[in-house]
Amino acid sequence: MIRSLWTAATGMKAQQLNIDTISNNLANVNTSGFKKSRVNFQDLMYQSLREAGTPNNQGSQVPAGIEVGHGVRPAATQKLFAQGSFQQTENPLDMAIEGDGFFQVVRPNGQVAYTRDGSFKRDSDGRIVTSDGYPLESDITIPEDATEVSITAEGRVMVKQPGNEEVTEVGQIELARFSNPAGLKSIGRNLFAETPASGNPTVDIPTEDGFGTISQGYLEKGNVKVVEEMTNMIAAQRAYEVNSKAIRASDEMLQQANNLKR
Amino acid sequence: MLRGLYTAASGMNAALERTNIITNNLSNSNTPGYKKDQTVNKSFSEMLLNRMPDQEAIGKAGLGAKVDQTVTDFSAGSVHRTDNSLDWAIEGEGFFAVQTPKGVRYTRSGNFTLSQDGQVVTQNGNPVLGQGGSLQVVGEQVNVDNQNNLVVDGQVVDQVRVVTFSDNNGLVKEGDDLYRATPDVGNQFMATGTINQGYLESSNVNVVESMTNMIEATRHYETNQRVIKTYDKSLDKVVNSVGRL
Repeated sequence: MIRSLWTAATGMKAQQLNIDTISNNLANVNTSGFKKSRVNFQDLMYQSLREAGTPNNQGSQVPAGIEVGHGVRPAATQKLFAQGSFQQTENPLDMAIEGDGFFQVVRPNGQVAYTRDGSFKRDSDGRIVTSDGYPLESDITIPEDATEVSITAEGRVMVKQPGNEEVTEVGQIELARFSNPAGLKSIGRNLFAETPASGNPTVDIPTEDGFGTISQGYLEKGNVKVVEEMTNMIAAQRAYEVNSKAIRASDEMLQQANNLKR
Repeated sequence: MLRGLYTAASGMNAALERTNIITNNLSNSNTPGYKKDQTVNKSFSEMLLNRMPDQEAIGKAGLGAKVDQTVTDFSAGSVHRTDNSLDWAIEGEGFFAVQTPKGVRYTRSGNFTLSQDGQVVTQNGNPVLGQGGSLQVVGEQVNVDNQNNLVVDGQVVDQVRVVTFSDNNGLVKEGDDLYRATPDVGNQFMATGTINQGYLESSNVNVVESMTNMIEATRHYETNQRVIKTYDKSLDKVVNSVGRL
Protein backbone atom coordinates (compact mmCIF):
# COMPACT_ATOMS: atom_id res chain seq x y z
CA MET A 1 0.00 0.00 0.00
CA ILE A 2 0.97 3.62 -0.11
CA ARG A 3 3.25 4.61 2.78
CA SER A 4 1.93 8.13 2.82
CA LEU A 5 -1.52 6.93 3.94
CA TRP A 6 -0.05 5.82 7.27
CA THR A 7 2.39 8.71 7.41
CA ALA A 8 -0.44 11.23 7.13
CA ALA A 9 -2.45 9.27 9.70
CA THR A 10 0.37 9.70 12.25
CA GLY A 11 0.19 13.42 11.53
CA MET A 12 -3.56 13.52 12.17
CA LYS A 13 -3.20 11.53 15.40
CA ALA A 14 -0.39 13.78 16.65
CA GLN A 15 -2.40 16.94 16.00
CA GLN A 16 -5.38 15.41 17.76
CA LEU A 17 -3.26 14.97 20.89
CA ASN A 18 -2.06 18.54 20.41
CA ILE A 19 -5.65 19.83 20.36
CA ASP A 20 -6.47 17.71 23.44
CA THR A 21 -3.62 19.34 25.33
CA ILE A 22 -4.45 22.86 24.15
CA SER A 23 -8.09 22.36 25.14
CA ASN A 24 -7.07 21.30 28.63
CA ASN A 25 -4.88 24.38 28.93
CA LEU A 26 -7.75 26.61 27.84
CA ALA A 27 -10.20 24.86 30.16
CA ASN A 28 -7.88 25.69 33.08
CA VAL A 29 -7.26 29.28 32.13
CA ASN A 30 -8.80 30.44 35.43
CA THR A 31 -7.53 27.63 37.66
CA SER A 32 -5.22 28.98 40.32
CA GLY A 33 -1.77 27.40 40.35
CA PHE A 34 -2.37 25.58 37.03
CA LYS A 35 0.67 24.96 34.83
CA LYS A 36 0.18 24.62 31.09
CA SER A 37 1.40 21.66 29.06
CA ARG A 38 2.64 21.40 25.54
CA VAL A 39 3.20 18.40 23.29
CA ASN A 40 6.70 17.91 21.92
CA PHE A 41 6.78 16.20 18.55
CA GLN A 42 9.56 14.21 16.91
CA ASP A 43 9.89 12.69 13.48
CA LEU A 44 9.47 8.92 13.28
CA MET A 45 12.07 6.50 11.99
CA TYR A 46 13.35 6.66 8.44
CA GLN A 47 13.51 3.89 5.89
CA SER A 48 16.70 4.07 3.93
CA LEU A 49 16.04 2.95 0.37
CA ARG A 50 19.61 3.74 -0.55
CA GLU A 51 22.36 4.72 1.85
CA ALA A 52 24.34 7.86 1.16
CA GLY A 53 27.91 7.05 0.16
CA THR A 54 27.20 3.82 -1.71
CA PRO A 55 29.33 3.56 -4.85
CA ASN A 56 27.49 4.16 -8.12
CA ASN A 57 28.32 2.59 -11.47
CA GLN A 58 30.50 5.54 -12.51
CA GLY A 59 32.90 4.59 -9.71
CA SER A 60 32.14 7.57 -7.47
CA GLN A 61 29.89 7.66 -4.44
CA VAL A 62 26.33 8.91 -4.36
CA PRO A 63 26.30 12.08 -2.25
CA ALA A 64 22.83 11.60 -0.79
CA GLY A 65 20.74 8.50 -0.35
CA ILE A 66 17.01 7.98 -0.49
CA GLU A 67 15.33 8.23 2.86
CA VAL A 68 11.61 8.03 3.42
CA GLY A 69 10.24 9.17 6.75
CA HIS A 70 7.24 7.58 8.34
CA GLY A 71 5.61 10.57 9.96
CA VAL A 72 5.54 12.07 13.39
CA ARG A 73 5.11 11.00 16.99
CA PRO A 74 4.47 12.85 20.21
CA ALA A 75 7.60 12.54 22.37
CA ALA A 76 6.37 14.12 25.58
CA THR A 77 3.69 16.30 27.03
CA GLN A 78 5.83 18.75 28.89
CA LYS A 79 4.56 20.82 31.80
CA LEU A 80 5.82 24.37 31.67
CA PHE A 81 6.38 25.80 35.11
CA ALA A 82 6.68 29.46 34.16
CA GLN A 83 5.26 31.74 36.82
CA GLY A 84 1.60 32.66 36.45
CA SER A 85 0.34 36.16 37.10
CA PHE A 86 -0.70 37.21 40.59
CA GLN A 87 -4.08 38.37 41.66
CA GLN A 88 -4.66 40.29 44.84
CA THR A 89 -7.45 38.80 46.90
CA GLU A 90 -6.88 40.24 50.37
CA ASN A 91 -7.93 36.92 51.79
CA PRO A 92 -5.48 36.19 54.65
CA LEU A 93 -5.13 32.52 53.77
CA ASP A 94 -4.46 33.04 50.06
CA MET A 95 -0.77 32.58 49.40
CA ALA A 96 1.25 32.89 46.23
CA ILE A 97 4.79 31.57 45.79
CA GLU A 98 7.24 33.81 43.97
CA GLY A 99 9.87 31.28 42.94
CA ASP A 100 10.18 27.57 42.24
CA GLY A 101 8.74 25.97 45.38
CA PHE A 102 5.58 23.96 45.94
CA PHE A 103 3.26 23.77 48.93
CA GLN A 104 3.18 20.30 50.46
CA VAL A 105 -0.22 18.90 51.33
CA VAL A 106 -1.20 15.51 52.75
CA ARG A 107 -3.67 13.48 50.72
CA PRO A 108 -6.23 11.25 52.49
CA ASN A 109 -4.04 8.20 51.73
CA GLY A 110 -1.23 9.77 53.76
CA GLN A 111 0.98 10.57 50.77
CA VAL A 112 2.37 14.05 50.27
CA ALA A 113 1.32 15.90 47.14
CA TYR A 114 2.64 19.20 45.82
CA THR A 115 0.70 22.22 44.65
CA ARG A 116 1.14 25.81 43.53
CA ASP A 117 -2.48 26.57 44.32
CA GLY A 118 -2.37 28.74 47.42
CA SER A 119 -6.08 29.18 48.04
CA PHE A 120 -6.09 27.74 51.56
CA LYS A 121 -8.96 27.68 54.04
CA ARG A 122 -9.51 26.90 57.71
CA ASP A 123 -11.33 23.72 58.54
CA SER A 124 -13.53 23.18 61.62
CA ASP A 125 -10.48 22.23 63.69
CA GLY A 126 -8.69 25.43 62.67
CA ARG A 127 -6.15 23.61 60.46
CA ILE A 128 -4.96 25.24 57.22
CA VAL A 129 -6.35 23.05 54.41
CA THR A 130 -6.78 23.15 50.64
CA SER A 131 -10.19 23.57 49.04
CA ASP A 132 -10.50 19.77 49.14
CA GLY A 133 -9.71 19.70 52.87
CA TYR A 134 -6.18 18.32 52.52
CA PRO A 135 -4.02 19.78 55.32
CA LEU A 136 -0.60 21.33 54.85
CA GLU A 137 2.19 18.86 55.57
CA SER A 138 3.52 21.01 58.41
CA ASP A 139 0.22 20.75 60.25
CA ILE A 140 -0.69 24.30 61.29
CA THR A 141 -3.67 25.03 63.48
CA ILE A 142 -5.04 28.51 63.91
CA PRO A 143 -6.61 29.03 67.33
CA GLU A 144 -10.36 29.56 67.30
CA ASP A 145 -10.15 32.98 68.92
CA ALA A 146 -7.49 34.34 66.59
CA THR A 147 -8.45 37.78 65.31
CA GLU A 148 -5.72 38.29 62.77
CA VAL A 149 -3.60 35.85 60.77
CA SER A 150 -0.47 37.04 59.09
CA ILE A 151 1.98 34.99 57.08
CA THR A 152 5.49 36.29 56.54
CA ALA A 153 7.54 35.94 53.37
CA GLU A 154 9.51 33.19 55.18
CA GLY A 155 6.31 31.22 55.74
CA ARG A 156 5.89 31.87 59.46
CA VAL A 157 2.24 31.91 60.44
CA MET A 158 1.48 34.45 63.16
CA VAL A 159 -1.81 35.07 64.91
CA LYS A 160 -3.13 37.78 67.21
CA GLN A 161 -5.37 36.74 70.04
CA PRO A 162 -7.65 38.90 72.17
CA GLY A 163 -6.07 40.03 75.40
CA ASN A 164 -2.60 39.67 73.95
CA GLU A 165 -0.84 42.61 72.39
CA GLU A 166 1.94 40.46 70.92
CA VAL A 167 1.55 38.17 67.91
CA THR A 168 2.32 34.50 68.49
CA GLU A 169 3.80 32.11 65.95
CA VAL A 170 1.66 29.02 65.39
CA GLY A 171 3.60 27.31 62.65
CA GLN A 172 6.09 27.38 59.80
CA ILE A 173 5.15 26.61 56.17
CA GLU A 174 7.85 24.70 54.32
CA LEU A 175 8.16 24.49 50.57
CA ALA A 176 9.43 21.64 48.40
CA ARG A 177 11.52 21.96 45.29
CA PHE A 178 12.41 19.51 42.50
CA SER A 179 15.41 19.43 40.23
CA ASN A 180 13.15 18.43 37.31
CA PRO A 181 9.62 19.74 37.98
CA ALA A 182 8.67 18.78 34.40
CA GLY A 183 8.89 15.15 35.57
CA LEU A 184 6.13 15.63 38.17
CA LYS A 185 2.91 13.77 37.59
CA SER A 186 -0.31 15.76 37.51
CA ILE A 187 -2.89 13.97 39.59
CA GLY A 188 -5.71 16.49 39.16
CA ARG A 189 -7.19 18.78 41.82
CA ASN A 190 -4.21 21.13 41.19
CA LEU A 191 -1.90 18.56 42.76
CA PHE A 192 1.35 17.03 41.57
CA ALA A 193 2.96 13.82 42.75
CA GLU A 194 6.66 13.00 42.67
CA THR A 195 7.97 10.41 40.20
CA PRO A 196 11.40 8.85 39.60
CA ALA A 197 11.83 11.44 36.81
CA SER A 198 11.17 14.45 39.04
CA GLY A 199 13.65 13.27 41.67
CA ASN A 200 13.15 13.58 45.41
CA PRO A 201 11.95 16.87 46.80
CA THR A 202 14.25 19.07 48.81
CA VAL A 203 12.34 20.80 51.57
CA ASP A 204 13.23 24.12 53.11
CA ILE A 205 11.68 27.29 54.42
CA PRO A 206 10.63 29.95 51.89
CA THR A 207 13.15 32.68 50.95
CA GLU A 208 15.94 30.06 50.93
CA ASP A 209 17.79 29.82 47.60
CA GLY A 210 15.34 29.10 44.83
CA PHE A 211 12.44 28.09 47.02
CA GLY A 212 10.64 31.37 46.55
CA THR A 213 8.91 33.68 48.95
CA ILE A 214 5.33 33.60 50.10
CA SER A 215 3.02 36.55 49.44
CA GLN A 216 0.00 36.59 51.64
CA GLY A 217 -3.26 37.85 50.16
CA TYR A 218 -2.34 36.93 46.61
CA LEU A 219 -3.21 33.99 44.36
CA GLU A 220 -1.15 32.66 41.48
CA LYS A 221 -3.32 32.28 38.40
CA GLY A 222 -2.80 29.66 35.71
CA ASN A 223 0.13 30.45 33.41
CA VAL A 224 -2.00 29.89 30.29
CA LYS A 225 -1.83 32.69 27.75
CA VAL A 226 -5.06 32.65 25.77
CA VAL A 227 -3.66 34.31 22.65
CA GLU A 228 -0.78 31.85 22.51
CA GLU A 229 -3.10 28.85 22.96
CA MET A 230 -5.52 30.11 20.32
CA THR A 231 -2.65 30.53 17.86
CA ASN A 232 -1.44 27.02 18.68
CA MET A 233 -4.96 25.75 18.17
CA ILE A 234 -5.19 27.31 14.72
CA ALA A 235 -1.81 25.83 13.78
CA ALA A 236 -2.82 22.39 15.07
CA GLN A 237 -6.17 22.45 13.31
CA ARG A 238 -4.60 23.40 9.99
CA ALA A 239 -1.90 20.76 10.42
CA TYR A 240 -4.66 18.22 10.99
CA GLU A 241 -6.44 19.40 7.87
CA VAL A 242 -3.34 19.31 5.69
CA ASN A 243 -2.70 15.71 6.77
CA SER A 244 -6.26 14.76 5.89
CA LYS A 245 -5.64 16.28 2.45
CA ALA A 246 -2.55 14.09 2.11
CA ILE A 247 -4.64 11.01 2.93
CA ARG A 248 -7.17 12.02 0.30
CA ALA A 249 -4.42 12.53 -2.29
CA SER A 250 -2.97 9.09 -1.48
CA ASP A 251 -6.43 7.59 -1.75
CA GLU A 252 -6.96 9.16 -5.15
CA MET A 253 -3.64 7.73 -6.29
CA LEU A 254 -4.69 4.28 -5.14
CA GLN A 255 -7.89 4.74 -7.09
CA GLN A 256 -5.88 5.64 -10.18
CA ALA A 257 -3.85 2.49 -9.74
CA ASN A 258 -7.03 0.47 -9.38
CA ASN A 259 -8.41 1.98 -12.57
CA LEU A 260 -5.44 0.65 -14.54
CA LYS A 261 -7.02 -2.76 -14.63
CA ARG A 262 -10.23 -2.82 -16.58
CA MET B 1 5.58 -5.99 -24.89
CA LEU B 2 5.32 -2.27 -25.47
CA ARG B 3 8.33 -0.61 -23.89
CA GLY B 4 6.41 2.55 -22.98
CA LEU B 5 4.20 0.56 -20.62
CA TYR B 6 7.11 0.04 -18.25
CA THR B 7 8.39 3.58 -18.78
CA ALA B 8 5.04 5.03 -17.67
CA ALA B 9 4.96 2.64 -14.70
CA SER B 10 8.36 3.94 -13.57
CA GLY B 11 6.89 7.44 -13.71
CA MET B 12 4.00 6.35 -11.47
CA ASN B 13 6.41 4.78 -8.98
CA ALA B 14 8.55 7.92 -8.84
CA ALA B 15 5.47 10.10 -8.25
CA LEU B 16 4.35 7.75 -5.49
CA GLU B 17 7.72 7.94 -3.74
CA ARG B 18 7.59 11.71 -4.02
CA THR B 19 4.13 11.77 -2.41
CA ASN B 20 5.45 9.67 0.48
CA ILE B 21 8.17 12.20 1.14
CA ILE B 22 5.87 15.23 0.81
CA THR B 23 3.44 13.59 3.24
CA ASN B 24 6.23 13.05 5.77
CA ASN B 25 7.07 16.75 5.49
CA LEU B 26 3.43 17.69 6.03
CA SER B 27 3.00 15.40 9.02
CA ASN B 28 6.04 17.07 10.60
CA SER B 29 4.91 20.62 9.89
CA ASN B 30 4.51 21.11 13.68
CA THR B 31 7.69 19.29 14.78
CA PRO B 32 10.24 21.75 16.19
CA GLY B 33 13.55 21.81 14.35
CA TYR B 34 12.33 19.48 11.58
CA LYS B 35 14.00 20.00 8.20
CA LYS B 36 12.05 19.13 5.06
CA ASP B 37 13.18 16.53 2.54
CA GLN B 38 13.16 17.05 -1.18
CA THR B 39 13.34 14.39 -3.86
CA VAL B 40 15.57 14.45 -6.89
CA ASN B 41 14.21 12.53 -9.85
CA LYS B 42 16.54 11.12 -12.46
CA SER B 43 15.88 9.52 -15.82
CA PHE B 44 17.23 6.07 -16.46
CA SER B 45 20.11 6.17 -18.90
CA GLU B 46 18.95 6.15 -22.49
CA MET B 47 19.16 3.04 -24.52
CA LEU B 48 20.58 2.86 -28.04
CA LEU B 49 18.19 1.38 -30.59
CA ASN B 50 19.74 -0.78 -33.31
CA ARG B 51 18.34 -1.91 -36.62
CA MET B 52 17.84 -5.62 -36.51
CA PRO B 53 19.93 -7.36 -39.19
CA ASP B 54 23.01 -5.11 -39.49
CA GLN B 55 23.01 -3.70 -35.90
CA GLU B 56 23.22 -0.11 -37.12
CA ALA B 57 22.25 2.54 -34.56
CA ILE B 58 19.03 4.33 -35.46
CA GLY B 59 18.39 6.47 -32.36
CA LYS B 60 17.82 6.44 -28.65
CA ALA B 61 14.89 5.66 -26.37
CA GLY B 62 14.34 6.80 -22.79
CA LEU B 63 13.28 4.26 -20.21
CA GLY B 64 11.54 6.37 -17.62
CA ALA B 65 12.35 7.99 -14.30
CA LYS B 66 13.21 7.08 -10.75
CA VAL B 67 13.74 8.85 -7.46
CA ASP B 68 17.50 9.21 -7.25
CA GLN B 69 18.07 11.06 -3.98
CA THR B 70 16.33 12.68 -1.10
CA VAL B 71 18.02 15.89 -0.09
CA THR B 72 17.34 17.56 3.24
CA ASP B 73 16.81 21.29 3.02
CA PHE B 74 18.62 22.72 6.07
CA SER B 75 17.30 26.27 5.71
CA ALA B 76 16.18 27.83 8.98
CA GLY B 77 12.61 27.51 10.17
CA SER B 78 10.76 30.38 11.77
CA VAL B 79 11.45 31.00 15.43
CA HIS B 80 8.77 31.55 18.02
CA ARG B 81 8.90 32.66 21.61
CA THR B 82 8.04 30.20 24.39
CA ASP B 83 9.61 31.87 27.48
CA ASN B 84 10.81 28.47 28.68
CA SER B 85 14.42 28.83 29.82
CA LEU B 86 15.33 25.42 28.39
CA ASP B 87 13.96 26.07 24.90
CA TRP B 88 16.94 26.96 22.76
CA ALA B 89 16.77 27.96 19.11
CA ILE B 90 19.97 28.18 17.07
CA GLU B 91 20.09 31.36 15.05
CA GLY B 92 22.28 30.71 12.05
CA GLU B 93 23.99 27.44 11.22
CA GLY B 94 24.79 24.62 13.58
CA PHE B 95 23.42 21.59 15.40
CA PHE B 96 23.26 20.62 19.05
CA ALA B 97 25.34 17.53 19.85
CA VAL B 98 23.44 14.89 21.81
CA GLN B 99 24.86 11.80 23.50
CA THR B 100 22.68 8.79 22.68
CA PRO B 101 23.30 5.12 23.53
CA LYS B 102 24.30 4.65 19.87
CA GLY B 103 26.84 7.48 19.90
CA VAL B 104 26.82 11.23 19.34
CA ARG B 105 23.90 12.50 17.27
CA TYR B 106 22.97 15.99 16.10
CA THR B 107 19.71 17.91 16.28
CA ARG B 108 18.19 21.32 15.63
CA SER B 109 15.25 20.76 17.90
CA GLY B 110 16.01 22.67 21.08
CA ASN B 111 13.12 21.77 23.40
CA PHE B 112 15.20 20.48 26.30
CA THR B 113 14.41 19.70 29.92
CA LEU B 114 16.42 18.95 33.05
CA SER B 115 16.93 15.41 34.23
CA GLN B 116 16.63 14.57 37.92
CA ASP B 117 20.41 14.80 38.33
CA GLY B 118 20.53 18.25 36.74
CA GLN B 119 21.65 17.37 33.21
CA VAL B 120 20.21 19.20 30.21
CA VAL B 121 18.50 16.43 28.23
CA THR B 122 16.32 16.05 25.12
CA GLN B 123 12.73 14.88 25.37
CA ASN B 124 14.04 11.31 25.06
CA GLY B 125 16.37 11.79 28.04
CA ASN B 126 19.60 11.92 26.04
CA PRO B 127 22.09 14.45 27.44
CA VAL B 128 22.95 17.54 25.41
CA LEU B 129 26.71 17.98 25.14
CA GLY B 130 28.93 20.89 26.07
CA GLN B 131 32.67 21.21 25.59
CA GLY B 132 33.36 19.07 28.65
CA GLY B 133 30.74 16.35 28.32
CA SER B 134 27.10 16.67 29.29
CA LEU B 135 25.75 20.01 30.47
CA GLN B 136 25.21 20.10 34.22
CA VAL B 137 22.94 22.60 35.87
CA VAL B 138 23.17 22.96 39.63
CA GLY B 139 21.49 26.15 40.69
CA GLU B 140 18.48 28.26 39.94
CA GLN B 141 19.02 30.65 37.08
CA VAL B 142 19.95 29.02 33.78
CA ASN B 143 21.08 31.34 31.03
CA VAL B 144 22.81 31.01 27.70
CA ASP B 145 24.84 34.03 26.66
CA ASN B 146 25.60 35.14 23.12
CA GLN B 147 28.82 33.07 23.03
CA ASN B 148 26.68 29.95 23.68
CA ASN B 149 28.07 29.70 27.21
CA LEU B 150 25.88 28.04 29.78
CA VAL B 151 25.62 30.43 32.71
CA VAL B 152 24.20 29.11 35.98
CA ASP B 153 23.60 31.70 38.71
CA GLY B 154 26.04 34.10 37.04
CA GLN B 155 28.87 31.54 36.70
CA VAL B 156 29.96 30.24 33.31
CA VAL B 157 29.70 26.46 33.66
CA ASP B 158 30.36 25.19 30.15
CA GLN B 159 29.94 26.10 26.51
CA VAL B 160 27.16 24.39 24.58
CA ARG B 161 28.57 22.39 21.67
CA VAL B 162 27.01 23.84 18.54
CA VAL B 163 28.70 22.19 15.59
CA THR B 164 28.53 22.20 11.83
CA PHE B 165 30.15 20.15 9.07
CA SER B 166 31.86 20.80 5.75
CA ASP B 167 28.97 19.08 4.02
CA ASN B 168 25.65 18.88 5.87
CA ASN B 169 24.27 16.61 3.14
CA GLY B 170 26.24 13.78 4.73
CA LEU B 171 23.89 13.86 7.72
CA VAL B 172 21.40 11.02 7.75
CA LYS B 173 18.03 11.35 9.47
CA GLU B 174 17.49 8.77 12.16
CA GLY B 175 14.09 9.78 13.51
CA ASP B 176 13.46 11.35 16.93
CA ASP B 177 14.74 14.64 15.42
CA LEU B 178 18.28 13.22 15.34
CA TYR B 179 20.87 13.19 12.56
CA ARG B 180 23.76 10.76 12.28
CA ALA B 181 27.01 11.98 10.75
CA THR B 182 28.29 9.71 7.99
CA PRO B 183 31.91 9.93 6.75
CA ASP B 184 30.55 12.14 3.92
CA VAL B 185 30.12 15.13 6.25
CA GLY B 186 33.86 15.80 6.15
CA ASN B 187 35.25 17.91 8.96
CA GLN B 188 33.38 19.08 12.03
CA PHE B 189 33.63 22.72 13.11
CA MET B 190 32.29 24.86 15.90
CA ALA B 191 29.33 26.60 14.29
CA THR B 192 28.80 30.33 14.09
CA GLY B 193 25.15 30.02 15.08
CA THR B 194 24.13 31.51 18.41
CA ILE B 195 21.57 30.19 20.82
CA ASN B 196 18.41 32.15 21.51
CA GLN B 197 17.13 31.16 24.89
CA GLY B 198 13.35 31.00 25.38
CA TYR B 199 12.70 30.44 21.71
CA LEU B 200 11.99 27.36 19.60
CA GLU B 201 12.72 26.85 15.94
CA SER B 202 9.65 25.63 14.05
CA SER B 203 9.96 23.16 11.22
CA ASN B 204 10.93 24.68 7.87
CA VAL B 205 8.06 22.96 6.05
CA ASN B 206 6.23 25.44 3.87
CA VAL B 207 2.67 24.11 3.73
CA VAL B 208 1.73 26.04 0.58
CA GLU B 209 4.77 24.75 -1.25
CA SER B 210 4.20 21.18 -0.02
CA MET B 211 0.54 21.22 -1.04
CA THR B 212 1.49 22.47 -4.51
CA ASN B 213 4.13 19.75 -4.78
CA MET B 214 1.56 17.19 -3.73
CA ILE B 215 -0.89 18.33 -6.41
CA GLU B 216 1.92 18.16 -8.93
CA ALA B 217 2.93 14.67 -7.84
CA THR B 218 -0.63 13.32 -7.91
CA ARG B 219 -1.21 14.82 -11.38
CA HIS B 220 2.09 13.37 -12.54
CA TYR B 221 0.88 10.01 -11.27
CA GLU B 222 -2.45 10.47 -13.08
CA THR B 223 -0.80 11.42 -16.37
CA ASN B 224 1.36 8.33 -16.33
CA GLN B 225 -1.69 6.26 -15.52
CA ARG B 226 -3.38 7.68 -18.66
CA VAL B 227 -0.33 6.75 -20.68
CA ILE B 228 -0.49 3.18 -19.44
CA LYS B 229 -4.18 3.03 -20.34
CA THR B 230 -3.43 4.30 -23.83
CA TYR B 231 -0.76 1.65 -24.30
CA ASP B 232 -3.18 -0.89 -22.98
CA LYS B 233 -5.74 0.17 -25.60
CA SER B 234 -3.15 -0.29 -28.33
CA LEU B 235 -2.32 -3.72 -26.99
CA ASP B 236 -6.03 -4.46 -26.92
CA LYS B 237 -6.20 -3.62 -30.62
CA VAL B 238 -3.15 -5.74 -31.35
CA VAL B 239 -4.42 -8.76 -29.50
CA ASN B 240 -8.14 -8.61 -30.21
CA SER B 241 -8.53 -6.87 -33.59
CA VAL B 242 -5.36 -7.47 -35.59
CA GLY B 243 -5.22 -11.08 -34.58
CA ARG B 244 -8.86 -11.78 -35.53
CA LEU B 245 -9.00 -14.36 -38.27
